[in-house]
Amino acid sequence: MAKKSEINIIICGTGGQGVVLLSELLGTAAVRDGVAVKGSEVLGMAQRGGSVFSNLRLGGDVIAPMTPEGKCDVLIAVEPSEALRNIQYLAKNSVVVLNTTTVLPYTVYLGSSGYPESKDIVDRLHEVTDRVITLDASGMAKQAGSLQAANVVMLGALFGTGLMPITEETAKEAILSRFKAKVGEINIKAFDLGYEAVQKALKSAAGKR
Amino acid sequence: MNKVADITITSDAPGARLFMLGNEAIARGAIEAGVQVVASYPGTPSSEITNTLVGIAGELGMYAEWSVNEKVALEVAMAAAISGVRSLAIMKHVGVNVAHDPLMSASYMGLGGLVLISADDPGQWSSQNEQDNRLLARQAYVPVLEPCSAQEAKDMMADAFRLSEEFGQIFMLRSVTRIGHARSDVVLGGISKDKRKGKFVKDPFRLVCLPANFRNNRRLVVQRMEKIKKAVDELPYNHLTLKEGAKLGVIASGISYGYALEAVQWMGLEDKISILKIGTPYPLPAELTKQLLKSVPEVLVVEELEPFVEDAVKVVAKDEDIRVKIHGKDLLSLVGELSVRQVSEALSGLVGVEPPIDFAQIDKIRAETQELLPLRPPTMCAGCPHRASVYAINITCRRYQQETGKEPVKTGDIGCYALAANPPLNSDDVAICMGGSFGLANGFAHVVDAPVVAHLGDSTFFHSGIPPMINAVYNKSDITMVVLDNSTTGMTGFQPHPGATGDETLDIKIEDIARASGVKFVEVVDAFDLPKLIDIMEKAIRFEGPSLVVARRLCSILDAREKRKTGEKVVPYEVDPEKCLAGSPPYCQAVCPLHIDIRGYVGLIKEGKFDEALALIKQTLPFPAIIGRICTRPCESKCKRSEVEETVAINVLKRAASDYGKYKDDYTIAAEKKEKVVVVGGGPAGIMAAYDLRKAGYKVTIFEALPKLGGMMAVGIPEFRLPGDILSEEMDIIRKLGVEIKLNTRVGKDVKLAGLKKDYDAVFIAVGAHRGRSLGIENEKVDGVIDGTEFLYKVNTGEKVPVQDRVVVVGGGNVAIDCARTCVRLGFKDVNIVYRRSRTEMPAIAEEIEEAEREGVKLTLLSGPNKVVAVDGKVTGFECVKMKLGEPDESGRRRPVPVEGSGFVIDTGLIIAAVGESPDLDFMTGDMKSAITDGLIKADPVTLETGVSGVFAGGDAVTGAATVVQAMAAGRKAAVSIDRYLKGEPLDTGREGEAVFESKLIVDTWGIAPEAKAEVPTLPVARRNGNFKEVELGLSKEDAIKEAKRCLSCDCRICINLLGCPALIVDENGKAAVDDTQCPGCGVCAQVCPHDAIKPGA
Repeated sequence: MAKKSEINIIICGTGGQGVVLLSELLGTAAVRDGVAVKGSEVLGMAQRGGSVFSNLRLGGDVIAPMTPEGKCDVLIAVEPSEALRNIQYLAKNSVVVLNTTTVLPYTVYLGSSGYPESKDIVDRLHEVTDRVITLDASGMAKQAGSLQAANVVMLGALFGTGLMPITEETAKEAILSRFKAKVGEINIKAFDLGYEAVQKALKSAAGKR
Repeated sequence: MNKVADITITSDAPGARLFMLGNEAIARGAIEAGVQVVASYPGTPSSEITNTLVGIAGELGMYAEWSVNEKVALEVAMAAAISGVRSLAIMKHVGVNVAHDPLMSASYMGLGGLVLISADDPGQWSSQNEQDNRLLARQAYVPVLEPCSAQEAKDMMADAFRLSEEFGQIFMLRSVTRIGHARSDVVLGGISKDKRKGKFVKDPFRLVCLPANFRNNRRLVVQRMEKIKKAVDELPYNHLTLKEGAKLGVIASGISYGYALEAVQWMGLEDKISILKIGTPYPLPAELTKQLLKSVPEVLVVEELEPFVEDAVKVVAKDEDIRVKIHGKDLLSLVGELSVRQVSEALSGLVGVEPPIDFAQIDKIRAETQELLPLRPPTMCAGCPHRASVYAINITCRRYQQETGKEPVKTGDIGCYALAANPPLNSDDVAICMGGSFGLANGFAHVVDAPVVAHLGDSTFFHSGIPPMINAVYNKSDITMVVLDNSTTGMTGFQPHPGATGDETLDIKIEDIARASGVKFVEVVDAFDLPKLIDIMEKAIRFEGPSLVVARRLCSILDAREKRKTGEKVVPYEVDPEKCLAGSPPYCQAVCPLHIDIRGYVGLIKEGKFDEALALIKQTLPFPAIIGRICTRPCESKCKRSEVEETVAINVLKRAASDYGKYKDDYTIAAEKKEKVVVVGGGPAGIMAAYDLRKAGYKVTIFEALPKLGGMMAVGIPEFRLPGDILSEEMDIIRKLGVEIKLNTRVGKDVKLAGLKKDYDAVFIAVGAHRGRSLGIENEKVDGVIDGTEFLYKVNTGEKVPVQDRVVVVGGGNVAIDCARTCVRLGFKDVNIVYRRSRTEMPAIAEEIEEAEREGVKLTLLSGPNKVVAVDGKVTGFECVKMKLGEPDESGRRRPVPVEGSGFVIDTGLIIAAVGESPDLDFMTGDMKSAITDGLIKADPVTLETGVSGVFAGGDAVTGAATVVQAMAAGRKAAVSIDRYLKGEPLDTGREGEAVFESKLIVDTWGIAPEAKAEVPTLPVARRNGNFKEVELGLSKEDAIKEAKRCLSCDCRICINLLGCPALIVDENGKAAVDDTQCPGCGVCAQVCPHDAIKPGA
């Protein structure tokens, strides 16, 4: 797995879900806390409803911007089936955080594509790693005040794993430097909901053992 | 752009860190170098470099322009460099192809202070190819700087101009997607304050490309290259790390270095491998290369795409006579992006160390997961005007093809509309490069006998669409050109272009250029006005000579931004679920009296799910084995597949479900009720009513006059069509449910109707029509003339029937056919059906008529009965007269009219009259008599009330002889009425859905390849002799699945199938719906919906 303090995060979802914004916030927070960060994503085509992939490599002294297969430490899926599309990056100790709200591509309505059952998605991920956490990020975003904030819920969830070499305070600073006033408030609320959900899930999983 | 404290991309703060995109880092490098002129055409993955520079150009006194195309961009930069000003041309890899002509001259001329950025795209994330422009640079004698990270990209960019000036040569910075679109924190350098004034100094021998001048330039460029070759070893971008005792060397350039280094570290081989990092793949640092090659026996060149460095290394080895094994593309792929994994696997093989991870296991999981992945191709945004334009092109081409048989050729181009090439729009037949749509169209026009419709966007039109448009006029290419004008360069990030400057007074109009170029048919249409757009395109495609249509409408994302600025409300559209026909009963289900979910069960059979198909049928019809054999199939008469070749064998598939599906009968009854219902008649109507009422909890008693249940199914339909054991087994469910069955009990004789009315809370009369109609001719009562239904009864109940040589059966319905085929089996040698109309008017099921003929039954058509010929009170013959068809009668069929003087006699000793049946209503006495009109029971068509309180009637007794499925539907209707009657609820409300109706669906069968309907295997005719074995054997499972696949699953998905808009979804009720978080309210789907079901929301 990761070497030294290197931590590899992959964020995936569909175009329009704010995956790129999520990586920007995370990267900004990392730099604020003096954590070395490298990342890459694919821009442009993804905006049009296609699959979006972004990865951030924190700490370590890696040069390559792409996380190799099998080296991902945390996979954040803002859209659940996209986690499957990136299953090759996972290893036994990877943590997967999954938003349960699906985005069906238009090909499903055309009848040219299926869409996996939620159970199948989680089961397939479990074949690689035990550490799969699901949460209704879209529902929490609505609760916080804006459906658009689902990505920030997932950012909070990421921090809830406790694996980040960055503090939550810095993350929130990064959010507030990007979003002002009411929108900033909504996003902080979204972050907190995601954070608490994952903390709760991890505690109950620890309790079960 | 991101901020840390208050550092920005223009901050003069050397040593500060800034988290930025690789392309932003490159822009920063240009800023640090004090670049003064920037020219570019947008192209992923380069666009953000120029976006950034354009954004701060004013602040820095820099001139930055979006040029019309890459050739012009490079020429602009060249002019600036010639004038002594540092200049930069930026483009994606294929853009360099467009700029290649001036690039050659720039190289020959020796232009210092000029840098070309080529942003390559390994893996083709957003490009039509993954050309490796280091090869292009070598061809052009342009030295290449290839960064391995965002930091190095910035540093190289900042240094490139110095290098370019030092050697007096254009330099290339070669970036890739993973560098340009990677983010990292970058340490900033100092910003040059050197501001120069452009000054043109005449130097025609160097600057004017006459052969004589440029022959000299050629010699000079070769010399310059020699100098540069000698100097690169000293550059910090090329770095050799030798490890003592190393047995393997790794050479890697650019981003490949990052992959190589990580692989080496991941496998713990840092101390065992010597590494040569390359930053200038051209010219290769020969000295460093030599050093490495001499130090190890084996070398792996880690390189993405072409073996560019690899080949150069091999030349060094050869020239220097160094013995070393050089690996490269023998172990690493030529195709696509490189990865740490690939390098690890290559190293593993060479060093004999296990890869850091079990990649085979990862591959296994990925392969297994493939099938679960939804197809998620990128598509145009909701509200994109290109969707409307491409739809209009498709309709135009389709109509043209339907009219003339010629299918137009559609050429496409590069831009957001390229996403329309995917289903369902399938907009492109060929697409090659920018402007290629119009270019190709010219060619097709001169060789293909079909119209050519070419489309490209507004920015592309100015880029390279104008010359081929002029070519079409000049070389008389009869093509239709469509410019999709959304007033922006959309795909690359909404950059401006000459037709979309942001100032309407400055915009150059595409239509003006077209007209000025001599195109005689030029029209501009709002892309969202579909009727007009289609009309204009239809005219354009038929216009003789080149035509050009501008489909104009602002990009939906820019439109949304404007609305946000002005505060104009976005009004998404809505689907009215009442009007939307998605999920509604298709043609077959609508006309089925029971409204069986045919689309559903056939759909399940398509997937081989016979159990589920049977369960679905049973939800509506408890008797699929029976109906699947004898139904008259009104569904098949409306099946849309018959527009392609023939109906789907819907009924045969129903039987297949009953043959192969496993189903556990459900005996649950709703809570037992105290009311008692009596059903008079155990035929299909009575049995269905009994089933439904018993399931609802009522106590039900059936009185059946015959010794067995089933009515006409039991005693009218022969065994060889409906085996008795299948019939009785399937009907037995009602006994198992607890229906009381009294056989051999004739109401009117054994019990009186009046008594039943007193003893029961409701009565359903379903006595059917079993009394044969008389022929109405002379001598019809003599010995030897028998009624058809009576004949079938006798046979079905085991009574002996005297067999002779000949028999005449009069009639054309199922009873007549059944009688005839029964006679064949009993041993009659000459069986002759006489029918007064033609074959097409025969009401019998077509397949039954065919089987009858195969069994040797003769058909004497267009022959009407005249009289029975009798001698001594016994039949000797049947006199007929030839008929011809006149005007239609009350049944809608053409009335047969006797032909004068065409009488003839058929010899026979037995005549079976099967000319219709009527009900025996003698048992309806007293007040019940008032319910009889014209020999039939009068019953309200909606509720089946007879007018006598508590007494309902349905089936053949009401309608006259009809069909089993109609009788069953009547039984169901009676059950609903009786249930409401007993509850005291109104009987006539909300009953519209029970009747048969015509589906309003519009289903397109265009382009469906014909496929023959399945042939149902039958018992060979020879094996039918003298027995009543079932003739139709049913389809095999495989054939049933194959036949089911012919079903079109008729449904309405017109909006979704024709547009593929991501805002159009299907809701949980199966109706089309609009995702209002995505819909910008363009209204195109509303225009496409033929049922007027989509409207702007509130």
